[in-house]
Amino acid sequence: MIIPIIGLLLGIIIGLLSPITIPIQYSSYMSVAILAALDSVFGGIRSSIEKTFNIEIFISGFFGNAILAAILTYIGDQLGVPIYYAAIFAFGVRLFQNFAIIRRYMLMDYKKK
Amino acid sequence: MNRKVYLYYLFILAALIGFVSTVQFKSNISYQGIVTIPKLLDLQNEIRNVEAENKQLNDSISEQALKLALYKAGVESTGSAFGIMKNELEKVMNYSNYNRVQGPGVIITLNDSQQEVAEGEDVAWYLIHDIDVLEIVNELRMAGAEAISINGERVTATTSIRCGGPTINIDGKRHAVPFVIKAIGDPKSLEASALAPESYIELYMEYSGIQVEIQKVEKLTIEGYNGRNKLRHQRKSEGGEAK
Repeated sequence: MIIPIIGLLLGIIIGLLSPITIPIQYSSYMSVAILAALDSVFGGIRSSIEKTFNIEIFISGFFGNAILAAILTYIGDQLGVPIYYAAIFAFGVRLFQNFAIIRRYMLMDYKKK
Repeated sequence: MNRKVYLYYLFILAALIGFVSTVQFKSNISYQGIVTIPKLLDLQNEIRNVEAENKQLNDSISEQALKLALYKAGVESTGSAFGIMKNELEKVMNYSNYNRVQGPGVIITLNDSQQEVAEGEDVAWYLIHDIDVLEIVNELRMAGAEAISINGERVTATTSIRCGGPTINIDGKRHAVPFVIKAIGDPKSLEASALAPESYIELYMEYSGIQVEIQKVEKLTIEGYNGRNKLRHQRKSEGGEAK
């Protein structure tokens, strides 16, 4: 558990130090991609608790979801339909669901002790 | 071994998430909201207005530059800018309605109705009132009239048109029917504004048979304003409007 947290901190520090900013027209793609990645992370935590974690599925989901979400947003922008709502909705719902399951596992663990 | 390898992966992915979301937070992007079509059109309009304003300002810059060049040329050739300033004064006098001016335009003659007053109707409907004259003057201005006079009385920015019983007071001077309104401008658009459906003449005056005669003229002369200067209270103000 400690290694991903160290990685996260490292990423935050690099992000703070680097001069990169996202142009406003790409910000919506980026935020949807971040949401997709977060969804993958929660899914990963859940599967690791369930002992079904598979690194290939995790990595492919992480990048695949992010890229698909960004592409959907792009298509929606071109068509004038906010398709990225679909991505936000799907990922948001899954995120909360995964979190609920993780919570239950953790509470059960805590009670056993 | 396998477990170690995926820890590396996790480390890299976590670093990636941290990096990307930090950059996103740092970019300080405010939520734009949903852009609806009316909002879009509004914004488009706004842009167009600003562009038009920009163009006008640019035009005025080049105008001022031209003026400056004129002054300079005047000073170089005659030693003073007097001649050019005189021309300018002439222009200002034209704008402020002090000069007698000439140009194409229309002459509108208004006279009281000749119709018989039917029973139960107010005789006032068949007479010309101050408001009728005011409305017509306003419509002429909207159609681009550059100089207007009523019965020889030049209409300026401070002219008052007010009811005076059976007469109308224009700048405090009494005038009676018939009212002859002269306007210099594009004769076609001036006439069209007076005759257009929904115009004041069409809406309020045709019914009661008030006599309206509109005449397009190629060349008409309008006398300058000959009253006293009425600007006694206002002064030039520097800076913006006081809050």
